Amino acid sequence: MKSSGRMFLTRMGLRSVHNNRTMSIASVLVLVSCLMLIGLVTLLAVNFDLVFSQFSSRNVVMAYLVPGLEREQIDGLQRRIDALPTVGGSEFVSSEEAFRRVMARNERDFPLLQDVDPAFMPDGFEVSPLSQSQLESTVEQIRQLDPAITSVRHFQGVAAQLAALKQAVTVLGAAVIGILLLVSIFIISSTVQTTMYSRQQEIKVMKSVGAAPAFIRWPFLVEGLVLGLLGAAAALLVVFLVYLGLEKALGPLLETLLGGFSLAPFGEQLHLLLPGFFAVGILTGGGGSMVSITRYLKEKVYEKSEFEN
Amino acid sequence: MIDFIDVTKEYPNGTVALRDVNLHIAPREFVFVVGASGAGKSTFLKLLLHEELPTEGTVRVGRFDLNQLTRRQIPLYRRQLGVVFQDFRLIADMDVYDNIAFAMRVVGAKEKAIKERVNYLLQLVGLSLKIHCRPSELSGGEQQRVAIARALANMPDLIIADEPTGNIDPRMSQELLELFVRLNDAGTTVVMVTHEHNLVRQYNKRIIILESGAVAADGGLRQAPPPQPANNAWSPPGLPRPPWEDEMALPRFEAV
Repeated sequence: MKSSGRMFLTRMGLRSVHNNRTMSIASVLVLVSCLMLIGLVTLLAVNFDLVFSQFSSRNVVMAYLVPGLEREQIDGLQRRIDALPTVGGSEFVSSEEAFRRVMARNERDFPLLQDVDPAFMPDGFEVSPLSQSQLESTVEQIRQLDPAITSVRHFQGVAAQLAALKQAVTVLGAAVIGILLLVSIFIISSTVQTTMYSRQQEIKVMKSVGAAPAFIRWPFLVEGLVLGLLGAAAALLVVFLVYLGLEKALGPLLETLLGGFSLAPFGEQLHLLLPGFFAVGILTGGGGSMVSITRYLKEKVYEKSEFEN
Repeated sequence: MIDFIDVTKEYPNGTVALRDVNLHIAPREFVFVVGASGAGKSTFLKLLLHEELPTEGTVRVGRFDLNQLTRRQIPLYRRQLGVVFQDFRLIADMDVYDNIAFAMRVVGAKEKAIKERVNYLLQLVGLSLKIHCRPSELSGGEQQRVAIARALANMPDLIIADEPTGNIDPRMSQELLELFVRLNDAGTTVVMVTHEHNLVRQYNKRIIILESGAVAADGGLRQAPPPQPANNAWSPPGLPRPPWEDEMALPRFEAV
């Protein structure tokens, strides 16, 4: 196909987006709806992953000490803890430091704490096990290490539950995204077919004047791609606005409930959403058009029945 | 130009639309194809347009053996034809210029050549002043003239017209026929399927009558009849139909 012909056909495709604007808007809206759901499910999965990661990184063993220990005693204890084979490292957290951390997370919610003496919180060690699988044995060893260690706390149960939940969310999210993708392709293909049904005449004229199949396909491909890309861009904007709304509405609540957790920033997910959305747009718009036009290319130029004349 | 050699077309449902048809249409000929409903005219056109292939026999148009055309050759073959349909088949959202230019763009013609050719064709069909009109702004006759101009865009050797006067008024039908005759005089082969025997009778051209899938008659008028009203609708009401409007009163053809 010559470049002048390609330009003409491209213009023809662009013009038909405008001329068939009702169907164009319908196609874009369908695509936006599907992509919006796909986007939100993806963001849910991303955030869940983030919660899990943050939680895992915080899943250290806290060993609390009796009050009033001397600095040498504390250092000695720390050396003994660090010497344990399953321990990766430890950090002494004084009662003042512990209080400061709590305040930093909850200052807004507990203004009364500002006047409390930090000494009510015990000194302790924040011990990181070499691996999460060795958490239980590390806890046991620390418990039996010294009577100066009054209690040992960790979140093994919660971590296991979160891991299971994460896996479930990943599988469910992938399944939902897969189903929505199929639904999008089906709906877009149907919408494009409806568009083409109304343009059978045009296709027949093209065939009757000797247009090659590639020539006939081109404007429909352009139209499908434009609709797909418009849908992807619109969906990205909608997902951004919805996510922004959710962030504002649920952010403080999640921060409180999940101990300082905040939703993943939208901008950081663009590397995932931008190519994903545009790939889906191209696949459903361009692919849907090609599937539909192939069917209509088989239409006869001369469709009168034998008994009409 | 066109050869039908022992052509039989049977559809999958068992209907035999054409049976042992043998025809030769020479270059520069003007042929009317007439026949009642179900006579095989549509199948005749479908075979010419390569919409259907014969069950038996061979169809040749110019240098193309239609039985042997590959999928890639079909568009190339169709570019050698100028096809005019009863329902005009103009693209509604293109103006007159673009509707005609479209056929040339399909074959990759340059814009300069397209402009020159379209302007010439619009002069030929008398629509230069309507160049920027949409089909919906034209009368039936004007739309058909645009369709004829489009059919002529690529300078075809053969024009196939399917009931070209079926949707237009009698005066315009006459004008269109004159246009086809002029094109034929200029060297283009014309095959016109029509129901309008009144029009057929006014021209001393070859007439092929199809009947039940076979060529019932093939020949020319012995002599051109005197000018007649163009259509039954022009006969004064209440008067008996004049003999030339009766299909049975058609002049004799040489039996095949």
